[in-house]
Amino acid sequence: MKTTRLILAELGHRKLNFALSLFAVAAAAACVLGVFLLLAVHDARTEALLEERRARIEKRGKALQDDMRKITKGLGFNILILPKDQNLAEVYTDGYAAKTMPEEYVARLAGVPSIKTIDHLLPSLEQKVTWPELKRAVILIGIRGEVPFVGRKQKKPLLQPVAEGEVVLGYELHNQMGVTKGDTVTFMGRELRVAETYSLRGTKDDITLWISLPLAQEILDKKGRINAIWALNCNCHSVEMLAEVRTEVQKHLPETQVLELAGKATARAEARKRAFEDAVAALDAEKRSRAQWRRQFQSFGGVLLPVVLLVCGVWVGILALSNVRERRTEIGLLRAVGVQAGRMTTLFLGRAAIVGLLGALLGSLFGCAAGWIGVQLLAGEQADSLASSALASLGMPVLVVLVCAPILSALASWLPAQHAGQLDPAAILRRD
Amino acid sequence: MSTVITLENVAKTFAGPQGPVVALGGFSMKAEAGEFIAVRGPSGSGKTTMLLVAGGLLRPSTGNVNLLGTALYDLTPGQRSTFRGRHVGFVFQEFHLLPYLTVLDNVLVPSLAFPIDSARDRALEVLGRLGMAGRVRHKPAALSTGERQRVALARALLPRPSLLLADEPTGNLDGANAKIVEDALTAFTRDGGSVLLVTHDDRVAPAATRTIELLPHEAT
Repeated sequence: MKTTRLILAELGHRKLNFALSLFAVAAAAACVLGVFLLLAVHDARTEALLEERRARIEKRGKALQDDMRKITKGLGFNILILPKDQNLAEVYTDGYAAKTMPEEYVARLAGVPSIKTIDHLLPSLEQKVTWPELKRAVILIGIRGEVPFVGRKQKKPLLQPVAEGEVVLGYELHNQMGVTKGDTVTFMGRELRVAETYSLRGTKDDITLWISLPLAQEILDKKGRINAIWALNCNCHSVEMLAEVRTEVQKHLPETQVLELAGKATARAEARKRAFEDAVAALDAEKRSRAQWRRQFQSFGGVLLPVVLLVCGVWVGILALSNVRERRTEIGLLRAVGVQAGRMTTLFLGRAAIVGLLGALLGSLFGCAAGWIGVQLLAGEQADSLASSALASLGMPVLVVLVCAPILSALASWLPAQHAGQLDPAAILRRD
Repeated sequence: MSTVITLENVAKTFAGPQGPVVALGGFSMKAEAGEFIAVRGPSGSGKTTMLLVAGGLLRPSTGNVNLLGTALYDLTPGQRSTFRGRHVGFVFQEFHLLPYLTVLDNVLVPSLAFPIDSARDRALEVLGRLGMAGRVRHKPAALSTGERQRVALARALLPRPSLLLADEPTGNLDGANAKIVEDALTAFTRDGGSVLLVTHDDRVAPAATRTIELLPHEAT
């Protein structure tokens, strides 16, 4: 007969002792797995939550990029190409460049098919002058309309050119003169038809008049010269891409410098960027908060588990001692038929190990089932995926419990098992 | 005839609260193969103590026990356990069957201690000889007192021992069952085994080839 058969038969016979021992081990196993399960559920929930937020932020980021494109289009997230020797302080002070560069530069830039970051090129000649007929200072801007990129499909122009013999007037100017579209005004002795009048903008545009570039070059005696190329509607997805535009322009026009123009657009872009960064920071804060909860729970588990294991261990040990006392006669008989003391100890340790294994199995089943039900009740919509991923991560802890529980149960029963081996069979069997 | 067991001037003293208590004092005997020896004596005369000493379960305070030419108490405890299991069978008045095992498994209990050739077949054979063939799958609780003692006897006979030590085996049995046990013990001696039977039972004692009286003074 095998020892295992004897142990299993005895376990089946002394049901109460077996059930109580089993309960103690199962409770300890379930407790251990419960801690792991809670951590796994927390991790899975954290992962799902952060993934959802990451997706939301990513979506928001994409929307932001889209916004940026719209802003740059609407507000002119644009750049200004100036002569290289132009002092920028003067540009900021005067509002235009005093130095000039060849008008041919714009054609050169438009002839580069590899330039992708700019959609519209607008050469201009700008200077503050006195309108003699009005006796007031105005800003004269000569424009020739957009210069199309060679080989690129013509886009709808952002700015219309001013035709020869026409003028576009800012608010202050047409208001002062009381002229409207179609009227004729005299500028430096030249009769010009008013092609457009702008409403109040609250900028220097209000004291600006736009005429054709050749006329401006003639009036200012700067034939074939311009002092700026407006690169409009740059395809910048973020403010950082300005550097890319600058590199690209300066590669082909080394005698120029590139200036960012539209601060308003930048401000909005920066504000959106900050909002995006705030969202990312909030995500990081959430991550830290959940990580902190995890650490605290781990610490709690670190205290709880040893206490549970100790209590269950003592309980298993007491039940093992009770079992030994109950089986004194049996021990005497087994010793009488030749079972050695060491074998007797092994018999009781084997019993404890089997109880440990069965308890671990039961505790694992109970722990997983309780965890499953708990997650289903508490986790709402994500319950199935959370429970699945949490349970899937329990493989190793379950294995550890199945290996460790029999060992710990045997250790808890060590003293009673030793006692069983040391019992004197003669003292048990002697009647008289 | 060969000597199975020899007890030479064996005494056993226990420590008691009021000083040492002599359980067995200076007892000597010899049992040959095929002998059926009844040991009788009043309560407290040390009969059971003598059986435990003879079976290697209780080291005597003085004296020697020689079983099949081996000084029993010169062996290590482990060696003595195995030696006892192989050569000595015990039968107790209270049977000491394991309540959770079937009749067959109870008989096979000695095979937990050491391997026994064809143990299952041997167990079935012994049970058959004792009229228990139809009860092998029953638990002790389902057996009558006589049947339980027969199972205990079968368990003692399983490893084919040379010496059977029986402590009041018929004390709880009716006449018919006592006769069955007596016959089994007699058959054992016919096969060359020796029996040391501690009994008060006048029904069984006449079956013994020799009777040893343990007198109270020997125990004090």
